[in-house]
Amino acid sequence: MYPWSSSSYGGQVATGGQTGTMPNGLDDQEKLLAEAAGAARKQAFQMNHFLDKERMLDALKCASTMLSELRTSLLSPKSYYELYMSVTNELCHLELYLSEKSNKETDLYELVQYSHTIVPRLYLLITVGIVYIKNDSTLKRSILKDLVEIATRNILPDVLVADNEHEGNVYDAIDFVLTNFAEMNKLWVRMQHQGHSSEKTRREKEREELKILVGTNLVRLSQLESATLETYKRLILPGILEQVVSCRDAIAQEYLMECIIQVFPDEFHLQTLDPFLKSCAQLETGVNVKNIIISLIERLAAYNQRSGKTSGNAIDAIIPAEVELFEVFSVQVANIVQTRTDMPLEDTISLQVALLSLAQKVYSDRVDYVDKVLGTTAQILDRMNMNNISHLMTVNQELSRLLRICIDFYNNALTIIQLLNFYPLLEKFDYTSRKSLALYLVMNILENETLVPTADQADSLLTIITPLIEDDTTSSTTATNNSADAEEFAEEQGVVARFIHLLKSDEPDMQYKMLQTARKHLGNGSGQRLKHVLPPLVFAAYQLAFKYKAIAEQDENWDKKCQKIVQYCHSTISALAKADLPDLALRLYLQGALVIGEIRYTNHETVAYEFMTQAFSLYEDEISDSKAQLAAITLIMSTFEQMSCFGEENAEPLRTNCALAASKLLKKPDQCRGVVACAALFWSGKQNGEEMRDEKRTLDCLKKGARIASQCLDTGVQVQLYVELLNHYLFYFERGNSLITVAMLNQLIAKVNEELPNLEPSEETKQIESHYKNTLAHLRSRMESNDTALEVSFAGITLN
Amino acid sequence: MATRKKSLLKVIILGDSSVGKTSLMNQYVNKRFSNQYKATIGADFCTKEVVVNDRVVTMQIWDTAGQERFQSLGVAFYRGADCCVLVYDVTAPNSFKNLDSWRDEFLIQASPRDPEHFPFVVLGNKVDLDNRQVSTRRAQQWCQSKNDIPYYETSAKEGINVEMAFQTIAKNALEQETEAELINDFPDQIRLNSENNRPGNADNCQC
Repeated sequence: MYPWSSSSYGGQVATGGQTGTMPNGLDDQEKLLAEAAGAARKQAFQMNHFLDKERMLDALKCASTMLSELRTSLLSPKSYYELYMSVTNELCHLELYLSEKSNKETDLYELVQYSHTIVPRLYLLITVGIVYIKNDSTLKRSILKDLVEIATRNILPDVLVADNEHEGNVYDAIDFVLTNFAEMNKLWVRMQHQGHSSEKTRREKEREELKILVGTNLVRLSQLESATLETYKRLILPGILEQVVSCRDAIAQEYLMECIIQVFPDEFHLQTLDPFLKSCAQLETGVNVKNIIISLIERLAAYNQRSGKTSGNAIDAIIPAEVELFEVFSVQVANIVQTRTDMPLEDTISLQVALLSLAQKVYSDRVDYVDKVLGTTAQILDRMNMNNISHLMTVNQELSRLLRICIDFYNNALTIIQLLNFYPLLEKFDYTSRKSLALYLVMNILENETLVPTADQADSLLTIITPLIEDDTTSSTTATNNSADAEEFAEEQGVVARFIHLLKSDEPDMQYKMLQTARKHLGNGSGQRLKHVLPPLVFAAYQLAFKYKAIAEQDENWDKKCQKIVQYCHSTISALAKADLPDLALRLYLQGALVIGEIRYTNHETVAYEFMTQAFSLYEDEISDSKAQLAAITLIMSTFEQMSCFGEENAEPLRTNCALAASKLLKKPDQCRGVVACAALFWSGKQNGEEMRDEKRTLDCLKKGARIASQCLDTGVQVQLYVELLNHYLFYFERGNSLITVAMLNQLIAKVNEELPNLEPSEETKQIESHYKNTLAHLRSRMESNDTALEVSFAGITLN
Repeated sequence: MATRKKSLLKVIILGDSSVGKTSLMNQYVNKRFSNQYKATIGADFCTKEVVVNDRVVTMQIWDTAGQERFQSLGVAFYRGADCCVLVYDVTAPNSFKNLDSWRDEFLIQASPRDPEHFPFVVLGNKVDLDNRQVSTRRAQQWCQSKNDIPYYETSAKEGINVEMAFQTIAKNALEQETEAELINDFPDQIRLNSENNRPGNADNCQC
């Protein structure tokens, strides 16, 4: 029933090499098709009309004329197929009529053979033949034989053992369709080699349009329900593959292999992987073998998932255990890579990607399979001597995909480091791609909050992410030269810093080991990197020290271990100081002093003192900006004010040093604020563990502050300082410093009242005014309060 | 005598790959189901006799390839369809979303006389599975918005609603045919003078 299965279309092409018989332009095609289809429709109408009137002979004549429209060589294959579809559609009416009436009819099978041309005769024979077979299945074999080169649908014998020898069995059907398939494929392939070479593109397009007719043979085979797996293995597949391989035509091979994959069930594929994949290796050079294999893998992986879904069974129960899917693919893919030397490297890598996803989808727990794929890939690159693979190369994309798929699939960096070949493969990349993969991994760790519990694991991960820790040694362009780069860099380092917080073991000793490992890796970076990545280490170490303190009763060595940790912190912080980051180091020293003061292990006072002096010397030697100086000394003082671990012989020099440093600040307002802040050291600062409450020295600081304020020339700043001073005086007054009198407060209030109205209106003035207003409101509320609990009397304060 | 040509109904089944088009047809025509997945390439048809309004008609059901790369010879067979069945998989939201484009594609290719009222039927298949993703309400809403397309939820595997759905398909197809025959089946007018101008019915061809 196919238009060119024997003599009709193919015959014409074979003889129709002369010019002018092949279709011309597109417009012509449409016109020709419309005319042919119109004529056919007219005849169909007549035919139906005669059938209504039961005028059989006239009807057959119309059918024959209609079918004659198929005797054309002017149509392109596609148009021809369209015409064929509409004509055969009309034949269905005839067939239907005949099925109803045939019992009474004379021998139609004979009758239709009087049609004078082959094409109509053939189609009518088939139509009548089908009707006969439907009515009397014993005729099947003989009629089929008669129509030998035409594959017809619906009537193929599909039983294993025929009821009688005339019906034919499934083997006849297979043989029949395979023969037809081979013939059709030959015709299809031959199309490629006809006509002028300049028309190659057009011919390929035509072939593309026709491929389905060849493929349909495979569909027929797949529809034979009596064809078992055994038959498929023994007869069907070898038959198809033999034809596919021997036709040596790239278009046919690619399409037909794909067809085999699609039309036969998964159950069959699973049992015939070897022959199929072996044939893949033998295909022509132009064939995209990669796509064929990927499509098979995808199909089987989907099957595994689909069946798992439907049956609800454990996934591994779906694909029979005796089918070593991964091994078979692994071996055959290697074989293909070896034989097909023309295959581009990207394709080879794509095959590895497919293999990898097969391993993951079907054997989700077999990390070794995945690792094997990575290892094979590394070997392939080794053989080709590929190193430092540039991020600009196309193959890089596929390779990166391989690694990213692993990261995405497991969502667990600890599994990634079980893949022993992950890092060796990563090392084949250039710095840029290694860095982006490292970042990808770290982001994955952060998203999944993967905790890293051992030093070895930390070591492996830090090795993998080396490009984020160290500069590129192979290139000189390390400087971050513009702000966008700098921002990106900071963000990236921030990510690393967040990762460090995930190095977390429940075992304190292990945690310490891990911190040491991390320190070793991270210490290799430049100062710009240290700034971001060392502070988290220091804080993690401080936390660990507290942990040891908490388990002091279970671990008799906690004291020594704390000392070690503090040493670790000290050296880490001094590394920061050396990397020209004094502000950061100063803050970390102060934090350390606080921690040490609280943990109170042996010798803690000396060490805390050492940390304080380190902070002081950084302050003195390294910090030069006046704003930064004030901020630093304020921080030092407030840290010291909190600490209670010092004996007087250590506390006094620190206290004096603070006061001295404050009074030596360069700018008067800074001096004033520094000195006033110092007052707290003599009031709430600790002396032998108790608050000092030295009324005189507290007041001295305040007075000194007031004196410095009076020396300021800028009235605006001066008033501001007075308002601040008033607040400080009030603070200590309210807390019961008996040396502070109402008169002192009144004096300050009067001073502010006098100066404030003279200030130029400005944003700063407004701020000073509102600060002062709030202070007065506080005073007023205290004066009006009847609360007897107040320690001091506010009587006598004049606000205006 | 009832006119015979009304008794052949052409039905096209469309939808994404692996939604179960072939399985639905097989269940309806052969009362068989197989879990084995065989992709359809190209198009193929089955016939089945069915009684509609006390009349026996033959339904010609065209099964099609869902995968684009296997739809090679185009869609010539869409023409002359009497009903189009759109199938999606209730466990695959994408197959539902694509119903729109399948419907459009059909209307463009088949170019029926009255696209607004051409009979479609929508089938939500695989309701036997428990991981359903597209709700009945959502599907019904879509069908209502397209001129009240009849909607059935089916399982080709369990045979749920298959018979009923195809009964509706046959009924709607028959109505369509009754309308269409009056106009469509008349051939082009006969132009006496143009008949001989046709370039070659391949008289030189020997076959």
